[in-house]
Amino acid sequence: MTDAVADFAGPSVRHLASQRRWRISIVTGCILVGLVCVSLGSLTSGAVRLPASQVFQTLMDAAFGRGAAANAQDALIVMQIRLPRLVLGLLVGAALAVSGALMQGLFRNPLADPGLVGVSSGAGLAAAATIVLGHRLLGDTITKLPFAALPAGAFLGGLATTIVLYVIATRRGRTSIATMLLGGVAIGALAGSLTGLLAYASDDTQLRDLTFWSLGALTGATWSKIAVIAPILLPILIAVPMLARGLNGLMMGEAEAYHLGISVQRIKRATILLVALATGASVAAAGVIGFVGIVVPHMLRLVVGSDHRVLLPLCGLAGAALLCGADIVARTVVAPAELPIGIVTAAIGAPFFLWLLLRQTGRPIT
Amino acid sequence: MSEVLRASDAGYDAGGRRLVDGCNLCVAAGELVVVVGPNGAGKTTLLRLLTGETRPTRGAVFYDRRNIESMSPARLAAKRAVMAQAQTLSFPFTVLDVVRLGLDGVGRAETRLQRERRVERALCSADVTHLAGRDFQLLSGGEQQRVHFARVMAQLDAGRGSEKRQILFLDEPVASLDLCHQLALMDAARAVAADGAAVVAILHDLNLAASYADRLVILQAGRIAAQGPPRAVLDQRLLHDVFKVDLKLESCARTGLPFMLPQSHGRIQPPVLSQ
Repeated sequence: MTDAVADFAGPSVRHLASQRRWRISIVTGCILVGLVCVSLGSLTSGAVRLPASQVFQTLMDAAFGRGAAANAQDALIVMQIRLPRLVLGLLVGAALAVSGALMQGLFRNPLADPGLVGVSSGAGLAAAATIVLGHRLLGDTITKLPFAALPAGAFLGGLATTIVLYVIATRRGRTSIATMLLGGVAIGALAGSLTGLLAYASDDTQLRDLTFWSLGALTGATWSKIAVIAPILLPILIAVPMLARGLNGLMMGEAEAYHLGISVQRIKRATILLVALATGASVAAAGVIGFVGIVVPHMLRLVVGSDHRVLLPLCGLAGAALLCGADIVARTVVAPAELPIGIVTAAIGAPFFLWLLLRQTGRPIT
Repeated sequence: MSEVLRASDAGYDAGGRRLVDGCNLCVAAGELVVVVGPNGAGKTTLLRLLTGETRPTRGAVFYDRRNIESMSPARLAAKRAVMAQAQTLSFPFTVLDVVRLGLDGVGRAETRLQRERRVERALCSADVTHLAGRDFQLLSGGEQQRVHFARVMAQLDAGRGSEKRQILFLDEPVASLDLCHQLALMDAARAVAADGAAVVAILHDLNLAASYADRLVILQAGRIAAQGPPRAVLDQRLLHDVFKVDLKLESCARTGLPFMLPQSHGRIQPPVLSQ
């Protein structure tokens, strides 16, 4: 009996599923093409315009260990300035978008973002403190440290904020997401006010550093910076899809996820830790860059749906492409000077986000 | 009788109040037990204790004589499925996605085809096949409830491979269904029990409860006031004492089951709902 009915209903479910797979393949293809285009654009554009063929030649030379005798200066630009910048942009973009998607899944709220639970603000405060107070407290030693002081400060700040929040929100082994959200808003406000206080106490140069950093920038990307960031971000990006099933279950609420057979507490802990690490590392490397974490997951949900198994990897790819695209804009519109990338992402992201809100009137947002 | 589920002196305190107190309940394979009681009697809290969602502050709950606190979420998910009261989803999921969630914790090692077949069967059992591609959030309340039922059925189906004697928990499963689907859902629950599972459902409609339950459990102020076959338990005095209504109890000419009509009499002390 059941089988007869199933046969009748069969094609519809199978048809829907295969339709979905097609759609996902097409979207993935588009994102990959976009990623390649943006990468090429990022390597060719800048103060010195290099044709794609030459960039390609340089990359080939470097890859096969041939000395690029032909044009040493162009090779230097590509290998030591643009390529590290591109790689950093890809890593940070992917980390931001994936962190956003993870936070939204965890909080079951499409407006959530690492900024929301105070991770970014905590990291920002620590960075501001390093900029403004670093010289007074540590004296000259700070200038002798390798690139570390500011990013390390930011990283530790983000991590410390997360731990404090986690402790506040955890009672008897259960982490209340609502408490964490509210606590995050409070800590974010506190960190914001302290950062403001620091800005008030800083001199002109420090203020400029502070502003630039708090708006985010991929300037100053070096291979040594990448060597620090990549070992943190790459394993995270690879591990993230393992959370997908759990986050899917959480969409219906914690009790329901538990009924479905998901170790809710473990998923929550892993998600919080990964987001703290990813956000801390990317803020440390590139400052506070807003909106990537909200816009990218949102956009993808509209086209491929909310299944995290698909959403999370695509967020990584699309976030990488978007951030590098924004970086191209940031360094060409006012060339030879450069805009902080946070200005570009916010300028694109905020109107887009408002448009999303307006479009969604028919459907409840939460 | 083969016991699948047992609550032994289970109780739960919260905020200085005893929400559930000293509940002893035993459900056998193939049995459909319906829990009834007035608002705030602790029905949902009791169900939470029975599903393992909340840990009892006193007593314990056992599946197949094993304390459920020692079972992993994945193991529990294969053993029992739970349809809770109104759930909301925070993101756009299609009906197909929602039903597929039922397989996520249980049927991991399965092929795509197997999973699709389970989903098809589940959609069919809740009469929601025609909604498969629709956005869950845009469905009516009753349709959403049926989709959740389909998800629960999919979970049971996937768990059947590893657990033969399963348990199905339903918390007011027919609250927003039309009459036809109320009966269809209860028939489906009946069929699950006939397949050898234990079914525990919370219902408000005493007529529906009386016609489907093998056993009624009457909950009052956190305690089990009475339990037994509907014919034995449901009487005028119980309606008066527990539900505070003074309805005339009749007996169905065809089945002999008790039923009542709301217009058959007045209420004692009608609650004042306005002002």
